[in-house]
Amino acid sequence: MSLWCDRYRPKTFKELDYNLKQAKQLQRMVKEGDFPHLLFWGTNGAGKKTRINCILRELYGSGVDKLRLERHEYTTASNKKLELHACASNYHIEICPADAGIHDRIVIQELVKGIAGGQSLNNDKQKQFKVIVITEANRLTKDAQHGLRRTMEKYMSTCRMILLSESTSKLIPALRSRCLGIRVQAPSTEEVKQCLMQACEIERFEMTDEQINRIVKLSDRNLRKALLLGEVCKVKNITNGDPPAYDWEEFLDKTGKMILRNQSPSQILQVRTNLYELIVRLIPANIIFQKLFLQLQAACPDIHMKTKLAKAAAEFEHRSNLGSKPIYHLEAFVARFMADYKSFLDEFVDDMDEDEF
Amino acid sequence: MEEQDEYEAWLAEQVAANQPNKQDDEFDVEEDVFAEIDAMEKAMAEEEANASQGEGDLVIDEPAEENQQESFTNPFEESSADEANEPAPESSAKRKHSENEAVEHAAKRTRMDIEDFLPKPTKILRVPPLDSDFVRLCSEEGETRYVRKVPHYTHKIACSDLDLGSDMNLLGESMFELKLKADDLREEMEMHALKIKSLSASSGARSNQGQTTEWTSTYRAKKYTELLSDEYINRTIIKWLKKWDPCVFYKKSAIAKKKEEAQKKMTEDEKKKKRFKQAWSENMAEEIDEEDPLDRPKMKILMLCGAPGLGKTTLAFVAAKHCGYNAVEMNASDDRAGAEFKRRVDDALTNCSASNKKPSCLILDEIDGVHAASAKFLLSRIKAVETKKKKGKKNEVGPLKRPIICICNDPYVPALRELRKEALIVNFNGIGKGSKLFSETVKKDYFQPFKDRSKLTARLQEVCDQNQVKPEAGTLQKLAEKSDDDIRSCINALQFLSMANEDKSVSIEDLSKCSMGKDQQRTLQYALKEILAVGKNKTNRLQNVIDIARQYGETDKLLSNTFELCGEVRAPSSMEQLYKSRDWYGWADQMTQFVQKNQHYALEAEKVYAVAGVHYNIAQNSEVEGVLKPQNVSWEMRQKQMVRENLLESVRNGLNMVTRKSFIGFELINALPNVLSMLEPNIRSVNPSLLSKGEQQALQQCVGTFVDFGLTLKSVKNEETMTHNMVVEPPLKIITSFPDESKKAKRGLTQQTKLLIASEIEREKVRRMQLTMDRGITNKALQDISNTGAAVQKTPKKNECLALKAVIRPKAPKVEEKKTFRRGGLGAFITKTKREKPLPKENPMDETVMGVVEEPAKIDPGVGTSEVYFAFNAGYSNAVRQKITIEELLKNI
Repeated sequence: MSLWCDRYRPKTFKELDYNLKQAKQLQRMVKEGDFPHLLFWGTNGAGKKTRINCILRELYGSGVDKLRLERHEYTTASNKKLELHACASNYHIEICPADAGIHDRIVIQELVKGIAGGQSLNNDKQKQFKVIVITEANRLTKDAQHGLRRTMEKYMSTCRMILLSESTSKLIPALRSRCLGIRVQAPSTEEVKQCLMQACEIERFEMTDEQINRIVKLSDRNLRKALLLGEVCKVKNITNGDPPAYDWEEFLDKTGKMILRNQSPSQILQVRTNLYELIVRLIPANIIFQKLFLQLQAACPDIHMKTKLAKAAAEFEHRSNLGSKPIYHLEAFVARFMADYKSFLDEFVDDMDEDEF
Repeated sequence: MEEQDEYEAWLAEQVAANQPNKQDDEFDVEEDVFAEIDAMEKAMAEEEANASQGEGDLVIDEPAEENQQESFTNPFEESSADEANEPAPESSAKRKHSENEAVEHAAKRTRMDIEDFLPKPTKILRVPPLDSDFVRLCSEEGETRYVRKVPHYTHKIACSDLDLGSDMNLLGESMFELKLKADDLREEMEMHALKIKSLSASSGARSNQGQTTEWTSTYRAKKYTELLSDEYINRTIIKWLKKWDPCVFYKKSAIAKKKEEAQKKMTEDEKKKKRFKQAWSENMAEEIDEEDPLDRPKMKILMLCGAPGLGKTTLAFVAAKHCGYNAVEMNASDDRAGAEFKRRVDDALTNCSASNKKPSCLILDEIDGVHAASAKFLLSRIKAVETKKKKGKKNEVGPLKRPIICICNDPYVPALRELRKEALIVNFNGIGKGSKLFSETVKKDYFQPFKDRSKLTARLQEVCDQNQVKPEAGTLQKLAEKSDDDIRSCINALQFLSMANEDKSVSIEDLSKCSMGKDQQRTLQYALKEILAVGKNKTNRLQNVIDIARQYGETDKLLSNTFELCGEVRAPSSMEQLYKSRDWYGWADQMTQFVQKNQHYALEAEKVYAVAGVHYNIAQNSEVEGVLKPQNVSWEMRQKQMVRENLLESVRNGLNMVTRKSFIGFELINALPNVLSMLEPNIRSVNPSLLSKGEQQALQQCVGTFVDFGLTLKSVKNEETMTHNMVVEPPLKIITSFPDESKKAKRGLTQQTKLLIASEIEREKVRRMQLTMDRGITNKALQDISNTGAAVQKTPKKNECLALKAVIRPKAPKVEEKKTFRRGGLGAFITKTKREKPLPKENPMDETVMGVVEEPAKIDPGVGTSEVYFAFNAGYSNAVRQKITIEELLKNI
């Protein structure tokens, strides 16, 4: 636990730094002893996991910190053996069924039933229910989500589920309605700054205010990222200067610039090799879409083009989710933008010419 | 006489063709017989077909075979026979000489010989001669021939000139001698044929054990010296196998002996140095587990990884044989699941074959396909320790006493994760060149072949020589390139190619036509060209393309190929069109996924419309020139992605629990670049004791990160500089770094610092292990107390504070006493006390805040009354005098 983001992660509700009102609410809810299934959603690094940990801590005491790695094995319909690792304590288990890919339905069915099916023996000492934390719920396939909805109701008496998701849009409505949705707002830049400064102070690392601001800006309200960057600065002893940038972000940025610089078929092929490099390095297609969109829309001259671009980005991202080869859809998106952008530029040049005459 | 000349010329030609070396035109007639025999012999020896053909020619052009000849010549025996010899203008010297010989042999002759000796009717013509009289002859078959009439007197003169010694000595040599000569020649030929046979047999002998003619098994290296792999790798493996000698053959290795001797001599100082050195002995193969009672090497198994066809299996077998083992192979063809696997492994490891008294060495080929359960079993066998044999427990197996070699293509398969830690991993990256796990530069991927192919081509040349294959210059080099150094496919291709031509020559052109595991189809080529260009049939081109796609069948392949190849054709002028083509690809992709998910395979056929759509938008007007190379970029990319996925998965599983919880999904990838830069702290490369406080902290921090992420530093050989370099293992760099020209070469840590970190990592691991063990005890103690209800449980606020283990001694006289563990010294721990200050909440790392707690030292209540308790034999004792400061306590945590 030598990373700052692990070390300075609050363990109880009292230690939380922001979203305090919500924290109070959660604390009270847990104190009541019972609560419905929960769905935490919010961007990465907002503190969803921290809050869940606080809840578990509040519920079961320090016992939840005693984690062990459990290995579960499943057999799929096609007799393929699957292996899933789960963090578990005596009171809760944390799984990421999405790791099983398209077989996540089986994980949900087998594992959740297995855990939820058993009753705890001495009810007076322990809580009546176990908690199942399902991380990356947004990556669950539709099948798995459907598998989950009935299970949730059926085993209400023995288990509570806490779903973690980046956004609710990828969850089926049936699931959303079964859970109490709790949005964890990302910390404001000011709050990020506060947390970072606190950590720096404890670590006895002095940075200029300018530097802190830089990190905060880079981190994009992702507290984990901010802490990581701060730590890198300490390790590299950068008190005033740019912290090392993420290579993939740099690379994607360059790719975006390539798209804007020149719109031609040959350029598309070059962009493609770059996109391949990104995909090969396990950067998810939706993140590429997102970042590219943000970069390209800044270059769009008018609101019409921006909306058009946004629509295209959404459309192709959706399609890439439906398909299996993201490169096709990414390139289609790039081609779409290039076509629009080029025609706009051409018109612009034509207008200029007409004006001259 | 023109006819005559013509005929003679023809004869000369015929003879010359048969026996180009010996013949002079002048000797045509006399030597004809000899030549004929010669030619026949030769022909027979060489090829049946050729011979018969040659004979046929002779019959037609010169129907002078002996049987026929008689029937032709009978009526004119005298004249034609005489004639036959007449025109030969021989040099008299030669004649003389041959006559002498002939006289010597004359007595031995029989009548038979003379009859044999009847001259050949060489003056038989197919067309009537113009310049002289002739006699028309008719054979039984109805063929007509003409024989020239020669004036008698010329014959007489010739005869009187020639007929000196013997009556019938018309030829230069007697027939008898000719026969002898022919016999000699025949014998010689036979000898020659025999030689060839034995030669080919001897070259085949290498292989002929199983009567196999398949070259890849024939030319598999049998001896250590025949290995093509890098000497360094070979040596590493042999070294490792030799490390087993003390265990398997009960003899001390030379190194161990040396060490013992050296140890006797060493002074204290030297010993210290030695220990320091040993800590980072860079070659894992060198390491012997000193604590191991069986003298086994530290790494119990050897893992050979590398691309297919580089000779991993061969190397394993050769090395095992070289070191005196009997290689027992298990590969994917064997049942490797469950009990069967266990049985076989145990059999191999504990028994030895009756016929072969050598100890066995288990070679597990293709281990990357093994089930996780089997891998786990293997691991348990490796880790098994000596147990006292209990009666009744038959299944109990002792510790591993035989070397195991695992062979795999991808070491990062999840099933092998645990096994990898116990294995000496040797990466097998190419032939005759160094091995290196992951090259520093990003462009080279780790399965990148190496450029130096001289060793491989030399071996291929050898194979060619032994099989009389004549490759064109440069072919072998090209072959090696094409196969990416895959020896197996090289030899296979060579064997195949050598069949193509009768003379076993192999040309570069043949090679380019030959497929080497990569799909190259004419039909694909054709289909691609049709799709990428508008053909002649412009009116109905969409239907045409659809038909072609249907015929070809594999629409996905067509699509991915055209996708990769669209740079080859002239791009459409408008971006809109370009976009539309890309849209079709997306549509097809969605379709594929949909079909697979819902199993609507009927819809699969509809995908051809995507091909048509692509064609409509990007096809160029002129025909595509040149050869379109079939592409498998997307497949390659997928492979690369898989490698990284496996890698990431192995990293994820190696993560410490807390870290694991906080880096889910993409966050881990996102954090990796930062983590990697954290692994290179700013530390001067000096002796660890000279580091400043800040540096020590940085070092600790860095080591902590290493351990949290389950990473280590591993020494890897650099092929260019031949030096060893420490790199992070698993190689995260391949995930985080991008190809970038402008990237300035970052100055990494010095070797010394890396060594320091590596040793600290090991130390930290042990420390943590101890910590969890201690914590187990602590928790137990806490539970005991809470059960008795004697004390209120106080949970530490921070995990770090837990390290200071506030424990209450179970049956302590004073209930409120807290205990603190301490490692070192007596390996014991101390307790204290109400006087201890509460620890600062936020700052577990900081030592200076604490200050020294002096009270214990000042008060010193005397032996046996101290409040400081040490763990001692299973219990506790306070009858120990030792001054201890809190600082010391903290230092050891």
